[in-house]
Amino acid sequence: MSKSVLRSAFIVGTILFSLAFLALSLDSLAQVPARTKESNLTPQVAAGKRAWQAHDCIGCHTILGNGAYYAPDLTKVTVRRTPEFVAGWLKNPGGQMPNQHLTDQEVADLVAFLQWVAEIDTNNWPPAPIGVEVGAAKPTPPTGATPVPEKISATGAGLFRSKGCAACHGSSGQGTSSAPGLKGVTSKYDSDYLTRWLRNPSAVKPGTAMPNLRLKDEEVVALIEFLKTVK
Amino acid sequence: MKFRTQRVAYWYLAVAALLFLLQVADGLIIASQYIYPDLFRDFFPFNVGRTWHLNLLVLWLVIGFMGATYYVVPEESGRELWSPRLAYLQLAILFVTGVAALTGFVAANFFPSLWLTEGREYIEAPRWADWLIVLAVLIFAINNGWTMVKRTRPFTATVGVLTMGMIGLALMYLAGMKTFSNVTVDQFFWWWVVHLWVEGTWELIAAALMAFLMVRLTGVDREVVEKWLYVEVGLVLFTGILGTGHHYYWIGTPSYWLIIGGVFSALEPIPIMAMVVDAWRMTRVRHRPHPNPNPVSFTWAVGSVIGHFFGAAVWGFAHTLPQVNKWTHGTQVTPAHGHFAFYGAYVMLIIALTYYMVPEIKGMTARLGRRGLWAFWLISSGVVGMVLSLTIAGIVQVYMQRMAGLDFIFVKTTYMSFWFALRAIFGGVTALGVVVYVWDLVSLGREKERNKDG
Repeated sequence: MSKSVLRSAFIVGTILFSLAFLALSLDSLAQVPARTKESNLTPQVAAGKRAWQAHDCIGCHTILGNGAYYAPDLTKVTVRRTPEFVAGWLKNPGGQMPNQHLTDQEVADLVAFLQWVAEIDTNNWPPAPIGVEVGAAKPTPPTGATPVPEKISATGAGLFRSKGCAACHGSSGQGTSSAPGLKGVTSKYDSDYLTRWLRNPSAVKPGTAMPNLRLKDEEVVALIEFLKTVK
Repeated sequence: MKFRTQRVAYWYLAVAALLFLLQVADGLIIASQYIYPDLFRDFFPFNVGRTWHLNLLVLWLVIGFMGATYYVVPEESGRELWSPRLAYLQLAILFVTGVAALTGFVAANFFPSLWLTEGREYIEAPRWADWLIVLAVLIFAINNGWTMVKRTRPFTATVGVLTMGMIGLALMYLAGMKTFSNVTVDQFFWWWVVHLWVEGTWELIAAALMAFLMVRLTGVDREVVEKWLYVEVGLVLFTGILGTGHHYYWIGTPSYWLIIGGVFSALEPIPIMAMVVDAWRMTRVRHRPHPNPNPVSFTWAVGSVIGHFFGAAVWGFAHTLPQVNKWTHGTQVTPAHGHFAFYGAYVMLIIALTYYMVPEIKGMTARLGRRGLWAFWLISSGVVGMVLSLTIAGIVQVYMQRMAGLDFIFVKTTYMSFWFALRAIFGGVTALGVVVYVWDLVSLGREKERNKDG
């Protein structure tokens, strides 16, 4: 083929593919308001997004999976935790996060923004982990087959790691600068108190940094069993 | 060097090398913060260091592209550059704007404001910096455009593709200047900048510059090179434009992007494979005697073809299908791919161009020393080491966090920490190589002095 034929193919092809992309983009942008529930995008949500940008949150975190990968993805953080916990955390962060010295208004705006983001239809991203839930009926292995080992997240020790307890209380519950060690906690408090505490920490002690992890009853039981083993 | 004004390229390439050194030094800090999160936490926290790392990368690559363009356009147009003074003014505007923006990112840590950072990765530069960059790009376009208009020989395909790439780069930057309250719309147009730069317009610039370099280094027939150039950049855009869809899987855009993005981004390796075949063919020609053998530039150029293939095509394809990307999106797999692809496709190419153009500008007749090859092996082994460390960290993260459901911070501080430490060590090797590179560039000037004295 001659150079001029190849050049024409390049130019015509580029124009065609650009037009196809533009047409799809227009269609996508027309669908975005419904998929992101834009009617709920209040001025407060918009203010929260501006605060999100001014504080360069994406310099550590990711949102919709895009960002710096250094700190957790915040797409569904208000569902994974609670809006109240997120607000408390933003006011006085623990772990590795530096205090951003946010005003109460900025905190409220940011929480509104994150709550709105959590409602975006992301084609089911992030995917749910493949772990088996505690208490779910386990299929009986056919006789003679090797028993299926329990998934890591199904045990109290696994829950301790998967629910985020270890992030503040240390990998084996030894405690960190963010949260106390858990050795002997089951002899210090009875299981009734611990159950109430794990279900909703701020109901027991208002203003506590510990989040409501939205644990199921059987998860609370498994965690308390695990806490008895912390040395 | 055929025209006196091609000398303009020297200062562009020198500034680019200096900013590269700064980018890598900054990289060492943020790599260390993965292991010691409290390091410089109060005055240079991770987010500031990462913003520097990305913005320095973009700034020095663009300055490098522009410098190389100032070398190519007069030679291909058969006349002096229209205005070398405007070219230096343009470099000064870019450099001062860059330094001001970087200072602003540090200040934003103490005084958070959208006037200091827009908080959108890669294009954090605030509005005032955007306009100064637009001004610099306009000067660049007018200066080269007028030189091309006044050319004394026929317009070449190399310059044509280079011009298209530069116009595309400038247009796509505009798409990032507006922000939207709806974060989905925001990210939608943000990808027009980021993706359509690195997997679109920058590929055009790089392919044209590679064609220019290969004709000079190997003496291969220009007609053949330029035919291939059209095939390559055609395939890049036919796959890459709709390949943008692989960023529209999970951000709130319609689900048909799962199919369109998946299919077209899976085809994106094809033009890169064509480039490998093309380069293989061109390097065979090199056995012919050639007036200016330049093994250092040649090594970097061949390295760029190979790095481009592994970094962009292999590492890109590895996580581009939606069935895989569902698990890997937002994990360390992405920076592994990013480091490898940027290094292979763009960093090595600009260094290859620098090792061709700077000795030409300096009028060096002697062969280059071995330091440039030391730099090649040090930086390349450092980057490959970092990429492998991050890839393993990413796989560990996918299994432990995404599939088993363990907490992010827990996985990061336990299972992944070894690989982050290894990444920092390989980062040190990379930085050492960059020091050797900059040292070599500085001494290239001195060797000329010595020649003159002798």
